[in-house]
Amino acid sequence: MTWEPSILVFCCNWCSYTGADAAGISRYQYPPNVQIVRVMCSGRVDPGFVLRAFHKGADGVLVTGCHPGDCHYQTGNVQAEKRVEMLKVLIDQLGIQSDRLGLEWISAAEGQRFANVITDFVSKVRGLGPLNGGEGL
Amino acid sequence: MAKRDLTDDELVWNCLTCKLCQNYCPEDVDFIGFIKDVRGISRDNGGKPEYTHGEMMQTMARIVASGKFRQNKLGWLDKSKVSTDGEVALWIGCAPYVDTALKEVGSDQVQITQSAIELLNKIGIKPRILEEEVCCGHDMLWIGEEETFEELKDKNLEVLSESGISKLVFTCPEGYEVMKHYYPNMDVELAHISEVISDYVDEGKATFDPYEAKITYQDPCRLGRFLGIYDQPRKVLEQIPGIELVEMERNRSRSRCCGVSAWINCNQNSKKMQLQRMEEAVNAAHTLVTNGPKCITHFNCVKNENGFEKEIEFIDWTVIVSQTLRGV
Ligand code: SF4
Ligand code: SF4
Ligand code: FES
Repeated sequence: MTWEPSILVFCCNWCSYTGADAAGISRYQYPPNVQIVRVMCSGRVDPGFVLRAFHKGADGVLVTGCHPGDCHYQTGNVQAEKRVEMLKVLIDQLGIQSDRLGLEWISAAEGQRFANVITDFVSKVRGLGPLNGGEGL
Repeated sequence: MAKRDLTDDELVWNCLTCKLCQNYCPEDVDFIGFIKDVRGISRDNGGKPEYTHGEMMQTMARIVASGKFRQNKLGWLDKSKVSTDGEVALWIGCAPYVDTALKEVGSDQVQITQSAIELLNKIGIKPRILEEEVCCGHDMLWIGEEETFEELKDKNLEVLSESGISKLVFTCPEGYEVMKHYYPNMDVELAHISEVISDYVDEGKATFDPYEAKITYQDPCRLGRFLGIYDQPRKVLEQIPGIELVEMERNRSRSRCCGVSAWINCNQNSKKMQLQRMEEAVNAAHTLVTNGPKCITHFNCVKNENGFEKEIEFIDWTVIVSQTLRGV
């Protein structure tokens, strides 16, 4: 069996999750390698969630939320951005390539953008190969 | 009386395993050993602690234990200060990870590690750094996660025996404690940095620059009650001109813990303990000298987050000593 990347995507209830719906309704195609977890805000994504995803074998993790200034709770996405920056450093120290973690802003109306973002991220992770594939060795 | 199911009881996880109670117990009950074992049983039955920081610290240990990734935690290291074939190694442990993860809390554990390297350099030692070392497993052991601990321990035993070192120096009392008591057949000598410097002072060679401060010293549970190291760090501090060392109300074997252990169950009780301990410290002095990277992290956190009104400085033992010891 050929390897397929398995990717976890955190979607904010108020924007990117609806964006994913919009992509579906409009039948924009994107690769089936992602599993979506709905959260109330990108600020809900605890750094621990991301580490646990990698520990459980996710090849990539994508955090998505409302565009800057549009967060339903004002600053959740600002927190998310800080955490992702921190996590990129941390996973790199642990020996996991920092490109396996991504952050994207997608509004509820941007179905096409959702499909594009997912397509790009999946192909990026595909290029990195499987997690545990002897990274950095 | 109704039977209480300890395997599903918050109290089992709230214990700090600080060993203070054993100090008083007239029957010498190994209470913390009991807690450790009950935690293991509880875990087998689906119980778990309240992980702080979203289980980040434990997940990092598990990721490292999996052995699937090559750690890249030494970016800050100045290679000219360390050796590649010396007999004395310095343990790095989780300091670089914790620093990254808890920057907002005000953690500066790498500074402590760097100070330890400086300090060893000053007494003529270029320490080895074991690039392949993994997490010491202390926290995993004490939260009853035996499998992860075993994996880490086996890997470290292999690294240590292959390294050919004869002595391993720690800044963190936890790594020292766990290796001394739970790693079998260690033929490497283990020492805390305060023991190494204390020996150096005994040789009569040490001179110090002045440091003007009234200080008090926090005995870490692992260094004090677990390893019996109370005098060495104090003795070195007393050598520094300008330092007035005073004791808190509860000191040495009666010392109070910094409030959190193994990154679990940091709750109201922890905060209360920390604030009480800080109160004790300000009643005695202006500066609290801690002696282990985690203690200062927890204290800084409570100071920044819970608003402690009074003036208090924290400084780690290794940092203050490396700032004042004169080089050879
Ligand atoms: S917190 Fe410390 S004193 Fe209290 S039961 Fe646990 S080991 Fe004993
Ligand atoms: S006191 Fe320690 S465990 Fe608790 S939140 Fe602060 S850094 Fe985390
Ligand atoms: S509500 Fe969407 S990122 Fe905060």
